[in-house]
Amino acid sequence: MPWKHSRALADRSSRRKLARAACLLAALLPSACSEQAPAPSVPAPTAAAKSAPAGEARIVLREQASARGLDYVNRSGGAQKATILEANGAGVALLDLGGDGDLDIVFSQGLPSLSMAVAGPGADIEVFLNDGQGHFRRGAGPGLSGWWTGLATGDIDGDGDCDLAVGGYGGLEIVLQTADGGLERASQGSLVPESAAFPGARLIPGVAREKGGVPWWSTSLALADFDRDGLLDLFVGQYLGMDPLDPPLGQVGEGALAIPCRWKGQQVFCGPHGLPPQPDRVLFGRGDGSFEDRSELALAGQRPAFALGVAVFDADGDGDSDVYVANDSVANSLWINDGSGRFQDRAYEANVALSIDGAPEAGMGIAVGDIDHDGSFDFALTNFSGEPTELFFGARMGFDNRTHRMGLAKETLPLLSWGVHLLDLDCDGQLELLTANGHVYPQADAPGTGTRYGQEATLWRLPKQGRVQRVEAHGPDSILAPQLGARGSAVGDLDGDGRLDVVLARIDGPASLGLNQSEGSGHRLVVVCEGAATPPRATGPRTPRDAHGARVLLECLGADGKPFTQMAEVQTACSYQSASSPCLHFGMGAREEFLALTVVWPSGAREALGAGRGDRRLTVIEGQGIAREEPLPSLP
Amino acid sequence: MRAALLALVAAPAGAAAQAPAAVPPPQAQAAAAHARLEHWRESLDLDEPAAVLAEGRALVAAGGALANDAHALGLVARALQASGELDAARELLSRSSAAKPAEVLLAERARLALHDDDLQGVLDLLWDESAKAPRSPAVPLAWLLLGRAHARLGEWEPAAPLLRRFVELEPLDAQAPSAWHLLAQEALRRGDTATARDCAQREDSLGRWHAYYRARRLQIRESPREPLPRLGLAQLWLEVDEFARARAVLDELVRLAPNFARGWMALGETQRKQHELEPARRSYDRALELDPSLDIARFNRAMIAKLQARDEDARRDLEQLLSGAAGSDPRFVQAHLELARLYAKSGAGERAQAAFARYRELGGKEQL
Repeated sequence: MPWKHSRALADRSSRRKLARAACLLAALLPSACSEQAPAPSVPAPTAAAKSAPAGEARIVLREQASARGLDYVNRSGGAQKATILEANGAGVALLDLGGDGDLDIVFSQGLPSLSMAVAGPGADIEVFLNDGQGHFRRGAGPGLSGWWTGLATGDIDGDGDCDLAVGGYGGLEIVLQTADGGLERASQGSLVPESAAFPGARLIPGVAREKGGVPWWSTSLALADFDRDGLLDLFVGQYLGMDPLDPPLGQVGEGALAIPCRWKGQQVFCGPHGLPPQPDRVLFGRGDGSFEDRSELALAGQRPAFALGVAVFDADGDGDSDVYVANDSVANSLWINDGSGRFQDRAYEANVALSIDGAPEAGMGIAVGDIDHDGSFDFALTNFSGEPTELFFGARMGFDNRTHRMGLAKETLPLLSWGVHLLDLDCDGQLELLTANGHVYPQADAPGTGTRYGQEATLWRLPKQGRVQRVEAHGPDSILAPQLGARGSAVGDLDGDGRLDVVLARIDGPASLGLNQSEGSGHRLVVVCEGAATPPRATGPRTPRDAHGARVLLECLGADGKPFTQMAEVQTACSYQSASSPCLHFGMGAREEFLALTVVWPSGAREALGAGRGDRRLTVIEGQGIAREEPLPSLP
Repeated sequence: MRAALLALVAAPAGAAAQAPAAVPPPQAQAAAAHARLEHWRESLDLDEPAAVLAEGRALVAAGGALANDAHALGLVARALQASGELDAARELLSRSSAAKPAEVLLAERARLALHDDDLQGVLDLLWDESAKAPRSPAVPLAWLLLGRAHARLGEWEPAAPLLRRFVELEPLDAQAPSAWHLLAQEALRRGDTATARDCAQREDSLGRWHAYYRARRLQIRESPREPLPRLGLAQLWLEVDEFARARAVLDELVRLAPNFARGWMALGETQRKQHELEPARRSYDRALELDPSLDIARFNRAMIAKLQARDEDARRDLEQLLSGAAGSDPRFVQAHLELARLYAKSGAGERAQAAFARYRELGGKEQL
């Protein structure tokens, strides 16, 4: 049965809302869903529009980690990467600790060796506090002990601040923010069970374990409200089973049927093929920091895969949160939510399970955005070397794979990409594509592999027509310059100038902090959404306190004088094992004013906030409209 | 065959490129060249392009023995591409305009164009607009590339017939699952869910088959003297009714491991399916000599004896089979009926009724 992807165009009329609902009911009648956006009113061009700059901005992401106190150094096993755990690296999360309005940074952390994961001591997550100007100092961690991988952010306990979910190899923890901005482990304890039914599922460094136990290995996590009760739930991507006391070395299988672990003639670490995939989990939040595992019901019929990337967005335009999972070397999943937190995998029908040729790829990271401004979400998916970073565009039926039409395959085939973002760095209203890259095999540096171990991060412009355009590093101090390996990545405004900056969690080395110092940036608007503290209705869907799932539509005039609508959703889970800022950043190009701002809340409420001026940071509270309006600093 | 093939590739590339002292007959030369290219294909399938380049660079270089063989050029170009030497691959294919067959060379150039996201370039190279047909209809790869180029352009309708032709021409090709996938997606776009489901099932089953096929070949490369991977490979060929290919694998298997009973049994099964009853019987004899507990071999030998009107031999095998654990195994229910019929034919009515009753007890539905 074909899966129907209905458009969620930037409309403001209840008529179109009804039409969209009808479309979803008529999933087998795609022609019923060919609604067109009503022609918006076109105001006269402003003075700024008349003087729009002819050229593009020069995008500059200047490396500032060392200069600004971000001294995180990743540890991820040995340099030769004997096991797959050592190759997958860490994630990074941007969240406001202490309620001072700026974004602080948290990194997950691994260990120098697999044996240390068993013998201890384990690692804690690492915290860096922002002074508001993008300078950092270390903060106290929650005191976790493990080999940590994925991070997710959101207001788990609904107290108005941002909390963390921390995944790892044999560990999954909830870390709540205290009133003074500290981090403390939730009282429920580990979300990995310690029972005879799952021997060895939990790995505690320094605690004796027996051979044969297989830790639950969570990779990317996502906090979102799947059952629309206003409380955040947790999607846990899980990877594969590997006994730390008996990891596969050199070959998988035994005896005559053993298969060597080789890649392009090189001996490499084993996996994921040959090792057992682990099923993903969905845990439903109770609003107090505790969760209930209802995976079997939520993901009924799931086929365990090797999950690496998880992103949440409203894929079918029906107002709830769906989940796309990038799986390693097997088909990806698109879990379509029925609105109550029960999912069905419709990736195949939506044409997003496999490459356009039908090959399973090694999915790593995911970024979501409305690239073509058509009111339906598009997304980018990073993959292994020899496989392209894919671009899927929301279409009338599922998604349209435009990777090759846009020339992105040729650009990305030599890269092994992880973290990924669709973001507007130069504030021109058009999204760029950023990928964090680096091979898993140190053996990639051998002759004849067609790739290399250390790889530079890459950036492309995504024009509305034609092929992608590579944005080169502006100089040796660009985070796009060094050929180092990166894994997780996150974006947010770290220096308070209203533009998106980039953090890369590099593997086996110092992190990168790329401050956005682009020249010739356009006007911008930052929108911060907050759900109503008291739900407007006693029953029905509710908006989470931190507004996860809220969709914002911003209508502007383009450089061509025609109006266009940008769409973004409050979701922090994207990229790889990472969480980005919940603030929504819009570029307005040469226009100082926008035509209309609309927020569609997860509760179903829709707030039309009218026209306004850019270069502002607007805080919109459900039911109250624009509650705060702060000017952004002028750009040099 | 395998040993011959390995001996071929073990020859130094330079030596292979030179004229040998004693020139083998043309048929043998052709067979050797074919085996060499098959080995290259397998190396590429198994992600070992270096093995192709180690031997192939010199052979396809100007003046090399295969410098004008478009198949060889194409395989070396693929190996260069997989090794990141894209410019060298392009150069190799563009300078070899005299290579034959020209259609294969054209298709290989189009494959590189597809790699470069030059989708229109693929269509320009391979599609004859005036004839509304591919320029190289005899080259299966051309149909696939045309189909893929259209699909990547979002043009599903013209893609479908091209891809269908490809799977007709190469139903077991490693790229056939991909073609079925594209056909499934095209059907979904038309709302033809039945066709989509059928294509998706073919994609899935053929994809699994190829995964096993790849694994078995890797295992054979890793442990060339181990019988189990070869047995698995032969069984894969039997699954898809490729009896001659299964037979070639099994002939080699029993040569390498003459005391491996299951190898002889599989060979007997293959010979039986090829209607070579006497060789099949001899293979089953050997299997049962080595392992008398091979019940399937005993049953199949009995069926061959029956076909050859050697009723006594058939009866003896069936009696022996059913006196053991197989007697109560529902998988051998048919053996009771066959034995009952043999008894009936020989006038042993009471025994026939007893065997038939056992057949019915085990769920058999046929009449005696």
